[in-house]
Amino acid sequence: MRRLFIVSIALVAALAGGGSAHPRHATSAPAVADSASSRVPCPVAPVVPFAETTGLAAGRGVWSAVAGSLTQQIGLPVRVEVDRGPGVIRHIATAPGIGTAYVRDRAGGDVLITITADGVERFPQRVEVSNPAWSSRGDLAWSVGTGILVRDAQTGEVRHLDSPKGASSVFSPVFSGAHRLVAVGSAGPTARIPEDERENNLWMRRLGGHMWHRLTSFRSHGDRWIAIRTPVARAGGAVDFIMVRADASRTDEPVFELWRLSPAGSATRTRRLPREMYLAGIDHGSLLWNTPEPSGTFLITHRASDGASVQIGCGAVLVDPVDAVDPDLRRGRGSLVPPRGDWLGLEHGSGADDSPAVPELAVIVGDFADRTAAEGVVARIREVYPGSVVDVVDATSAPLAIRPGVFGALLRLPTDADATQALTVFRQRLPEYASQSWVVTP
Amino acid sequence: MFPRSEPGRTVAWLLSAAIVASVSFTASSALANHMKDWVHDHSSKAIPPRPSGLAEMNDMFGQRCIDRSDNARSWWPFADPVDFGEGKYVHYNTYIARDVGYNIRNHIDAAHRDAALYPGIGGYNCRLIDGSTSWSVHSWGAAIDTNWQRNPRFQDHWNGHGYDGENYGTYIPDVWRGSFPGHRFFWGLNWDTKPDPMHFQYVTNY
Repeated sequence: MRRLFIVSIALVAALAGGGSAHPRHATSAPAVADSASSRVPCPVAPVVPFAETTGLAAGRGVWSAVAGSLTQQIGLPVRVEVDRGPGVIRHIATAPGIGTAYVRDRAGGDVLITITADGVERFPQRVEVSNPAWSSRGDLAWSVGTGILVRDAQTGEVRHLDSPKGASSVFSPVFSGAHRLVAVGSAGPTARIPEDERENNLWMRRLGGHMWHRLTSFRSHGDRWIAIRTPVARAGGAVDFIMVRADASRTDEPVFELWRLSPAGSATRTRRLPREMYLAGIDHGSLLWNTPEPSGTFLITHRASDGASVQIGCGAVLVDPVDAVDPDLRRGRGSLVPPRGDWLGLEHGSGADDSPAVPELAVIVGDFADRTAAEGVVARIREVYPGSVVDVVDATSAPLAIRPGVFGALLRLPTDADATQALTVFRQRLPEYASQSWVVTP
Repeated sequence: MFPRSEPGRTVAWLLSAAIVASVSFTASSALANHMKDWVHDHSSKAIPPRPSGLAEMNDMFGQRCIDRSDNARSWWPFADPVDFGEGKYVHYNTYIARDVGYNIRNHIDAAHRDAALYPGIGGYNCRLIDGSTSWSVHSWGAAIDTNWQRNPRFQDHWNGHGYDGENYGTYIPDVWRGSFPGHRFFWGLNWDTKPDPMHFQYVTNY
């Protein structure tokens, strides 16, 4: 046992200090399909002193955020505590020969941290920080939501670039050249798009210039939204990115696609992805991927030469971690919440948690423009549910379940009915009404 | 509050308190009359366990953007941001069908306070959070936004003016929070650094 422990420590120390060029080939990395299937568990990584690591300052290796900690995903994973303090780590950018940058996400303003040959530097900000990215000459760009900050590698001067015109936010900057920045702009609300967060496009700006230029023309409509996530710059000036699109009111799985922006600025779809997947960077010319697991972790994979997806580690690289709570979304002190106000009515009817359920659950089929159509459905439901209470309802008899001017067929459910189960059974027994049946409390 | 050496002020205070109590009782009784045919459902069916974090939310609500995420609905007046006179169906997860549809929507209706609502109001919405790879709680049908045109994200207070222009104070948020043992919705105004007064969700730590 003692011998095994010593061997393990030695192996961990060697991996942490080495950051070898192709260490993942030394492990028994499993080939996995793109679809969610059996995965290698993500072990709890031991902590090694920062002083014993060399990969971070050299921008080598694959690093991710696991349970709020910076973790090397090469061979045996190890955790490194570069800085201590409240918050969790996210958005890790490594650049070979330059260094590593990441965000310590805190409640309120965040901290940007860089690790280079010059040492560790902390850049506290008063706002949310996201998506740091390195240029080939060591400039560093990051998003502060309403703009991009760019730190000059030579002078240390930090320049603020406002959002593109018409965009409410700009994020995920990448350098597609030494002096050329590409970022995602989120369109602000307009008459066509009443909400923001609905339409993303790629924008370009030269560091010496004064304007953003839109590179793509993705357009949302209705309740369709289009999102661009995790852009990654490739050698030569191209940018790979993930496009996600869906209709907000539908329950279909959103579409995930891999796209490429050419150095000339034109975007083309590379392929449709089989599931939710994001980019995690580039390792030796090969794209790395972050794939979420239902268990609440991200896997890191790459595509082998035979096309198989090979897991090389765990944790979030460019994506937002899901295994640690965003400090901004933890229950606060409640200092903004006013004391309860008008409680006259609210105080009535409260009681213990073990009170019996009120028999007010129902399945409604609707909406119908005339009563006759609803009566036909009532008759059909009575055939399948003999002895049940089934009625035609409108906004007078069931004002919370149906809008004025239309009719519905209402099947009242037993007091102890489980809403999810009851609707599932109803749709199985009456599939002709599956698309127009809902759980309501009339 | 009142020094014992000033009996005259004490009497005045007691008189004032009696009047206030009387008015409150009268108003309370009047409101209770309006709601006499309706009581809360605080059974475990109506107030199911509230998840904490993504994994528990997936366990209790199912995966995001699936049928059950929007299979329950209720009619909310003044919800449409385009036409103020129009209402709309708000959809949500069947897991919270009784709490939203019966306890909360019914409470506002039974108290005759529909006019405390204001455009816009919405529930199920399958989408990513802006600039993030995390999914909005609305993707599980586990959150409802109300009165968002007067209570946008990052506003650090609740604006209680309803559709009729009256100031209803915190009436709407109070219903979501609920009286003991509570309707158990978490109010986005509790996020000190990212206040979201319009937002009420049935999960914490996400």
